[in-house]
Amino acid sequence: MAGTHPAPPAGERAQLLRELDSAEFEARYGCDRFTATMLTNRCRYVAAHMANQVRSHAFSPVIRDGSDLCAMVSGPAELGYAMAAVSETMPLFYGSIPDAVRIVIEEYGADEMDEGDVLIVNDYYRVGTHLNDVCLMQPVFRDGRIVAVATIRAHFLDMGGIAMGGFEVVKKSTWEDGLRIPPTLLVSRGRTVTSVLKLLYDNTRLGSLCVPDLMTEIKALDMGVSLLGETIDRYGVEAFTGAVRYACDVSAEAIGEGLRTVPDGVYEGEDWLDGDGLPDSPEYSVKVRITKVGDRAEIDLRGSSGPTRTAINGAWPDIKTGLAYALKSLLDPTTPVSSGTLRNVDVIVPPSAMFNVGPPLPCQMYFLVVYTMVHATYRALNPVLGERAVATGYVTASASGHGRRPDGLEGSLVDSAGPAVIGAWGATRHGDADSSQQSSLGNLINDGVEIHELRGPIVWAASDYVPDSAGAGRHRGGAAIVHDTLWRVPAAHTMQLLFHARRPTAGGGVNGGGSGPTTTAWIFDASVSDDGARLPELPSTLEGELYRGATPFGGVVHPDTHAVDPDGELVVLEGKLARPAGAVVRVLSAAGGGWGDPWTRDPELVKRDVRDEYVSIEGAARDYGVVVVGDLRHPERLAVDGPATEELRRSSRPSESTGPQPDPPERSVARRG
Amino acid sequence: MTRSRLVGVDVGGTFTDVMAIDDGRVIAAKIPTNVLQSETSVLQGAAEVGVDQARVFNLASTAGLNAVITRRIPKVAFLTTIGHRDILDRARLWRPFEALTDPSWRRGTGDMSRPLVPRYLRRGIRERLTSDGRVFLPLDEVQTREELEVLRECEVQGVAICLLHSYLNPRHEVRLRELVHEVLGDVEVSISSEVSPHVREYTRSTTTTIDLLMKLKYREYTLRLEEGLDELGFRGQFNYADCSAMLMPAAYAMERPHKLVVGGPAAGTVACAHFGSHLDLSDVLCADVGGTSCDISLVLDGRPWVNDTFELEWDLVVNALSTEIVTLGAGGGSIVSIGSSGELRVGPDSAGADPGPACYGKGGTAPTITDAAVSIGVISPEHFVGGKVPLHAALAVRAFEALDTSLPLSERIRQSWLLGLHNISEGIIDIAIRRGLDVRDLNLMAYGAAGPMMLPGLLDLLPLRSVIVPPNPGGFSALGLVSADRVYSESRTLHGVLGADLAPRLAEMFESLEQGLLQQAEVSAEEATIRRTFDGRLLGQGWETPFVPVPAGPLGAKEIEQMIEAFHAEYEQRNGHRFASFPVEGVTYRVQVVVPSDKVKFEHLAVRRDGALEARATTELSHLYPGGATARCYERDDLLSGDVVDGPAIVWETNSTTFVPMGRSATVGGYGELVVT
Repeated sequence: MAGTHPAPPAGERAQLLRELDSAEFEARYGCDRFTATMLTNRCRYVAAHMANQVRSHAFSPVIRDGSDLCAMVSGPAELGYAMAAVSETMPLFYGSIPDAVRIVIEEYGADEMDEGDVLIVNDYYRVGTHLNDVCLMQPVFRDGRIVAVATIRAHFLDMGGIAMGGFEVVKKSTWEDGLRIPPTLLVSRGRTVTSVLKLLYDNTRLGSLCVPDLMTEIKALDMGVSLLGETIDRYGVEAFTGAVRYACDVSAEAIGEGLRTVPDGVYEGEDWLDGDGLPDSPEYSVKVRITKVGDRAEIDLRGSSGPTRTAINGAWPDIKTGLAYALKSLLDPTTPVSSGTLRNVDVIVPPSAMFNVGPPLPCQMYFLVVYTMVHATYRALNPVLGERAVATGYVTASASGHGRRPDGLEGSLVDSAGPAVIGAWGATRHGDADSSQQSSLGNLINDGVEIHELRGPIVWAASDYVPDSAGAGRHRGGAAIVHDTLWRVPAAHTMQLLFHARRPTAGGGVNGGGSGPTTTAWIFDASVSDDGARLPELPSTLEGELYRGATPFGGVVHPDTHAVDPDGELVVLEGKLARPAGAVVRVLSAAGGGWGDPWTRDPELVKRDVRDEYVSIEGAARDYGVVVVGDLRHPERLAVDGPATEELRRSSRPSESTGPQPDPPERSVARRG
Repeated sequence: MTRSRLVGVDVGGTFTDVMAIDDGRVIAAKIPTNVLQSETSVLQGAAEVGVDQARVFNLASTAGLNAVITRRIPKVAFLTTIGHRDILDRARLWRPFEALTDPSWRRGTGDMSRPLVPRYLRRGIRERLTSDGRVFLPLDEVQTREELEVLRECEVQGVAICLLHSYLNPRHEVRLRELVHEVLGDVEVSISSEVSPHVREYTRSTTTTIDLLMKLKYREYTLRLEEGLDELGFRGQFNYADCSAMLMPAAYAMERPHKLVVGGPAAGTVACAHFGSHLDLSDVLCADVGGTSCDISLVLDGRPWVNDTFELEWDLVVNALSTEIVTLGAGGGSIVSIGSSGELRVGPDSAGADPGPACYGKGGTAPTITDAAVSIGVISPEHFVGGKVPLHAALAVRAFEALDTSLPLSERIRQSWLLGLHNISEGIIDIAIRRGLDVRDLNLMAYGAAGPMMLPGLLDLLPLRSVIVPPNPGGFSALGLVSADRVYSESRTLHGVLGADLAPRLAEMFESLEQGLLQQAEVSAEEATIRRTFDGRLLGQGWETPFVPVPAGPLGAKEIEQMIEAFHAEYEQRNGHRFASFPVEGVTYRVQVVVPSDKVKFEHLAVRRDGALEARATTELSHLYPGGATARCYERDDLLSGDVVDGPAIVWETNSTTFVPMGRSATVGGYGELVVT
């Protein structure tokens, strides 16, 4: 990331920011500590004000309700437009957005820009993520040069391409992804270049929703630029620039100090994507090799898989998102992100990898690559973090049903994320994990069942926690959830690629904690709903004969019973499953891993879990060595049998696992479709 | 004592403030709140000021809020549609800024943290409606009774019921309530189709659950208060203040007690609106700086800016009209600390009332904003709370000296003071931006014990028109409780594109809502003001623009046209753009019946006829200005209308201190307000 203060050679301890006296501080930053603190806060507020303005005035629900945006404040050219602050919203933007400003303004030409100009860009090869995420940038000029830049990135509902909304795995090239916009002038000295708006309007499907959003974003940028300008006039360019450097140094130091707590050494980790969605797909993996010395690290990504054959690729800026999120969440969860976050980290990127593609490879599903990188880093560092190890959980699985919509377009029949985003987290040293969370780098708002049913022809019949599915541990992971939806119209069903199905222990529990089932999907035929006339009431179980008649279309299942089976076969859906009205889709979202030895879990907590049906009475004995007596019709009469528990825990304790678990073997693959 | 006495009571977590007003004369009492039985504090205060001649007794209480956020709540059950028992655990899924890269974050209301209802008491009932309100699965009474047997054995004290799509069709919820009473007997029940008949099951569920908890909290409480007030000879009208500090008669409030959960903070905004009307100000920024926080709110067009929902804690949403308040950790007790990079920080932690700021001498060692004020000389120990609370300036200085930083002492103190002001100024910009307002057009009302000493300093950071310190700023909030009207309100969801064909249905709905409300208020249409509004959206949007005006009287095609135009105007005002070609979809329709209530009248302050204002003393200001400065000190009671006080100056009064910074001056207005510019 843009370096603003050179890091000392590894091993040599730099003077910490808090150790600087007033004279040293002023000499380094050109302002006193108070001014630097205040201006750093100011940058954070300006970013937040811009994001709030867009969110409270935006047109499309994905921004207003889903909060799929971010705003940021960057410094002047001589700092490489280093990012001082980024607004709350999605961590998925954190790594790519800091560099985007430098890349875009340098390519367009700072000399070509004037006060009141706004650039627009969405090209992932330049700025990362996917084409839906449209960035707008407006510089602040003083004395004819750029002293700061305000940026907003927000999700555009559609960017053209072969799939409405863009979310389609099987694309062969960026031309199928949609409209790729290089750095382009959208507003010239305060006047919108309407030909560019028309270009967008004419080449996207939902321009009537998205173009008004752009107008709102331009207003928010004007506001941010005006706030920044007032601030710079008041405190001077030198103090402002010093504060941007200070903000970056704070982030760099925090990660550096976090790294210092990890023993020096070389740590390796790998994580896998099940495939690319095409027939005979290989597995794809991200490999990280972390060499940690003092407060610095080198992360070598060589040995990772090359590009996939579909839209599951990422451009290089998103590498930083994966690594920054992984390191921050493990070592420094609370310091704000800036351009300094990865300063103490060097990354070796192979010239061609699924996280480093160029034209013409498509990147719509870049986030799958980012999550793989996060999990690989967790797998490298968790074994040496001891107590601080973090278990992982659900990532993503979107089943969607396609057909002709009321607006006449062909595409997904339901316009909100719904159950697909809900899934469990893994446990940490701080306690048990929630079952209803979303993947860690997202932060969308869930609209709920009623809105979902108003927006599409479905009945969201259930989202229920599966007993005994959570990764067991001293601290328990979140439970797997069965999400059942009844389709009231004929639809062609698809399944986005699943995580970790081929390798069920990838991620999961840490420090002796267990792992639960991985994400799986089935489609039941219309007889379970009497052709849509009846609410399907499928039991919330993973066992028995329930699944024999169902068609699995993602996950690892027994070849005959179709029940979840870690030793079964991987199912990959090719193409779409056309089903009449009344079909019922069940998606099992993966459980979260446990933290610590489950045989040391407080028996009263196990009893509470039995009472609340996270764990069955049998599961309490089998997975936790706790004997609970009573039955669920009398939840408050459930009790721990103390002596029996003591005896059970002493006599039949499972052999303790030591060290990292070996990588499980690949499994056989079955195809549907 | 006269028959015109008005009494307002604000029950806070630490103190209960009681205000009695006789023809503009204020009698105030401050009683320590008995947190577990706060009605005893209320009655003690009532006895102290005297209520036997009072016409109204208006109560705002945070007792319900405190019970929820500390989870000192009764055991209750939650029933919902089968397959969805975890609605309350899931919430809306998102997480706050500070949790974005924190894998250990857990939802505060989730099962792994502190659920309002544990999972075993949240049970799925076999029934289902579809999104058009039709029955898809009839209510299974056999299964229902089995589930209720479990709850009976667990001896729950109440049952909250929220079934999917019940806002369109209450039949199953109503029947379920009957079955609850059959099996569980006389327990409290709240059903979502009555409490908050609006789409979105999560917020309807939380609202219904909070409603139930408030019934259990306030029903007995109200009876005990009514008995106690009766013994004190009170014969007037007993009202509760709701979340927008509008008044509801106690019996009416007990039917919808979720509206009471945050009664107190909104009162200050109402006081600003009412006092602003005396000053001919219709748009006012309101800032209440107390011990732990700074609450910022807004009056627009003479009325508090309200939202249709509010949050009690992260994502714990209640559907009720409530004054929008931005709370910042920047109060007098906000703690100054040194961050990990050596930077000064103010808040969000607070020293609270106990131990309080270091200068209280009650064992607090962390420096606070109040300690900075004492060190600078803005607060003089002899005049704090009329000299009743002794302060120790040396302890304040010692606390700053103990900070782990290389900054010189003067800088520590000066920077802490300024940082607190910077935090507040960002909060003000935030609320102004969200409403599309320019702070250059606004006056800021400064109240709460610490408001008048801090907020005039904002003039150096923000281009505000002025900072106004009202009379009696320390007790100003409670005046809001005798500045409001009685309001009866109801709302309904009805999705439909606005057009002439919708007019008959809307007319019928408004008619029935209004008749019901007038009956509850026991007034005729002539005695009340009826306000109709709707929440609408451009067709295709997923969110609504609230509170669009609806014409009074009969609704026909012409009035629907007016509603559409009003929507576009409101949308443009809020969002800066007009999309007149889009159809407008109505979602929620609201009616308020407003019954005028007796209000406090502010008295004119005499104009100085002869002589000149004399300072009582001077004091040296340290740390804040290079080279120091001397401030003149005045007693507020000495000030007369038209007087001008040039800064640096300090104005003392019993429960507050006003600080006029260097280069600023304060002009005394016709109602005794200090206008700092």
